[in-house]
Amino acid sequence: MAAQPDAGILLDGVSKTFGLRGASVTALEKISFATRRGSFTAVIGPSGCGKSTMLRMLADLEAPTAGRLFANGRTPSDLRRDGKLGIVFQEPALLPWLTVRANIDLALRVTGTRPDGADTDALIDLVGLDGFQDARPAELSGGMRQRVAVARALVTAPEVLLLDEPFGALDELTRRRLNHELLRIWAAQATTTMLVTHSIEEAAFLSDTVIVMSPRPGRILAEVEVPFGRPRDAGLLREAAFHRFADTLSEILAAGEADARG
Amino acid sequence: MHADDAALPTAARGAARFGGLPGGAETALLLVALVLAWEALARMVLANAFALAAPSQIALQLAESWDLYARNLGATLWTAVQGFVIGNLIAILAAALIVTIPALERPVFSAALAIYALPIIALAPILMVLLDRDAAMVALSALAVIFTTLVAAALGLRSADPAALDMVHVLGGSTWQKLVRVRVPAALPSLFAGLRIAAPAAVLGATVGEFMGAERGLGVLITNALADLETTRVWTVAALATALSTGGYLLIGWVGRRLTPWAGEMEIVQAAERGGGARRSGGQGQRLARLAGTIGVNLLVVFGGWALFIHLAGLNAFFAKGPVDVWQFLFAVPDAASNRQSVFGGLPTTIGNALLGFLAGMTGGVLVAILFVLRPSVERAAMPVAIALRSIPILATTPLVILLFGRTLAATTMIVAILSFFPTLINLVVAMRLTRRSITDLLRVLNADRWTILWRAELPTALPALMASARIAVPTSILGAVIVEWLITGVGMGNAILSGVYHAEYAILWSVAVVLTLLSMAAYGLISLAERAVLRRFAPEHLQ
Ligand SMILES: Nc1ncnc2c1ncn2[C@@H]1O[C@H](COP(=O)(O)OP(=O)(O)OP(=O)(O)O)[C@@H](O)[C@H]1O
Ligand SMILES: [Mg+2]
Repeated sequence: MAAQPDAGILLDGVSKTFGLRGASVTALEKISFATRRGSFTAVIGPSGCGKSTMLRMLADLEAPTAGRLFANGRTPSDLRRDGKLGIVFQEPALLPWLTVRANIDLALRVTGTRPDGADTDALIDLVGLDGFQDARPAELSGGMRQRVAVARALVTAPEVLLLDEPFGALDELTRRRLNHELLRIWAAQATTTMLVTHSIEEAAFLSDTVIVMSPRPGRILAEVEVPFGRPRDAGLLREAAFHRFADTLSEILAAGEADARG
Repeated sequence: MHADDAALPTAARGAARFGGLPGGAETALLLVALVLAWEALARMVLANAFALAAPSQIALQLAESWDLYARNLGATLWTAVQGFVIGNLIAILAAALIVTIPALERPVFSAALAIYALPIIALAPILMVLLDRDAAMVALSALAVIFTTLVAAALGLRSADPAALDMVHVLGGSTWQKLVRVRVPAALPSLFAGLRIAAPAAVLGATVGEFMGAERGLGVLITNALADLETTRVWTVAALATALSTGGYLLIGWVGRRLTPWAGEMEIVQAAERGGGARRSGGQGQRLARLAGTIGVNLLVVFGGWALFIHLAGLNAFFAKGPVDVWQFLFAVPDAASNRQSVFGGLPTTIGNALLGFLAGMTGGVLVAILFVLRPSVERAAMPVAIALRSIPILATTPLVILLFGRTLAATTMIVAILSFFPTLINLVVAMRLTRRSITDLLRVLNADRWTILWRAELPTALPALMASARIAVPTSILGAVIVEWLITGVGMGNAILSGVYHAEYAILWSVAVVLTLLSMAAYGLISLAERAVLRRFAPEHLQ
């Protein structure tokens, strides 16, 4: 099943348990779902339900306790070795001794590509950091650092893009602008994308499918197809259908929380 | 920024001011005032006491006999530079080794700690006969730098941001790429902090060798001048020794800042003293088991390393005594009882001298640090001076304090205290400044007064730094006490070394060396335990 040409992200009975000083914490329990290659998937769920853990397993940073994961028909470790993954963490993870440009180029160097100044500059411009090419991370605000991290994830034109609340630290306007740019780039590159977010609106606006998770141990409450066509623009945010859809997602989340308590 | 930063202990403020060599108008004024006061004191109050030479007299003396001073300064500098390079190379390689092969961490760390705890003053006469004289002095200088650099380099290599390593990993980067692109640059600030402390330590090691009898060097000059009661010459050599130590310290600091402009102040100032081997949390039982294990490994490393050294080096049996020889000397031969008396008789005195000086230095450091934090104008003027004096060598302080205060207990205490005073002061001030801005802001919003902020936020934040300073200062205090006893007062373990050298009884010297090493290691261990208890409460994030 892993060889299908249109396979995107595929989780097959994935569980993850952490051992913590004798006690064990089950972060994820028997997660299975499949997305199409080139699709945009959003994951929402309460804090601590294992969203980051799922992403880290797809990034080959963590091994599942049980089950298998694939992205674009290949194992995470295969993809990683070929330099086909892109990731943005909750924290920007910039190297403090490198300038903005050098931090972005680092991704190219590590994946064995010669940095092309023009591409990097275009990306810096895109994330709104023109003029800060030679600044060091310490000279940037938290949100600016996060934008550098986004540019760094995009510069290698990855086949699979993993985003862990990348815009959590940004103001609403910048966030929306970057979301639009993200959609534009995603549409142009057909990147299989998975976005973890706390914003229901963001999930509904950006993705093809929203995966709603339960409180820990994380299970899938629902896999919801987003019923809006593309391309999408800011007008969608004002439509009543959009708000009804967002409300549906909220209700699923709330029902999951209530279940977990009682 | 002078007006409004008075009450803001933030990293940003510190970084701005700390960025360069000692500078600023306040500091310049303070220095001029100090030199004038010194000159006046020497010319008027103490003019006939043969205790204090005026700065002008020192300048004159330097101008008159420049060749003599330059030759000896050059000799000490050359020894120290060789020791610095060799010792630090060994330390960096060892750090790379324990970071790559964690199983080696305990034994390698124990060996480095034992080397740090080695009383180089007791080792000096032994090395002098075992090795070529120049080589012995270089070896002493190298030994003096190994531990702090090892700790700093290992800490640095481990300090890479895990998220940055993850990022390179996700991009398909190899272990080598992680090392070159992330780990090594991340290690540089900490490494330079270690190298900076190593510069004066290398000078100390070199001069201890010179005390023991060399042809040239500042140590030789000062011993002669002190014997002849040549006050001006003593002060001149002390000034040169201070310039050498401080110059090395400031130079390495400057190079470090140029190479690592991104580094935070904390890393630059005290990284070398923060680490201290693996610190892990765990239950009471686990902790006890680990303690027993650590003690076992330490003893094994000390005695095993010692026996191995004697065995492999194939040294002359008259000079080179192994553990068995020393055991027989202390417990088996007919004279054992009197031998024990010559070795252990002075131990209580030495412990007393070291402890008194240690406590005085730590207390002074804490009090002045509080003064600095409460009075930012004082801090602004005096901090650069304190940083420069941090590396004032015992070679300079000992004769000066003795000239001024005589061969008294107070003088001994003061000499030992100076060794821990400046490092403690600087570490505390920096640590207090780094108190989380949000916490002090919160307290201010709640209308807390200055003392409450100090007591509730700044001092607890600085507690780990205080403990780290204490841990590092203990072996230094013991070494300082023995050096003073040996050089000046002729009591305690210093006296045992004198008599060992005088009677050519090398078993005494080996016994003294091993007793002092174990004493230093035990004291270091005790403070580490206390430190862990403090960290568990105040900074659990520092425990792994
Ligand atoms: N390295 C680890 N060791 C032990 N437990 C872990 C580790 N990483 C995560 N966990 C546990 O796994 C669970 C899920 O964590 P995860 O970071 O995936 O949550 P999350 O859904 O991303 O939460 P948030 O929305 O707050 O970021 C948590 O209970 C956490 O305590
Ligand atoms: Mg998370």
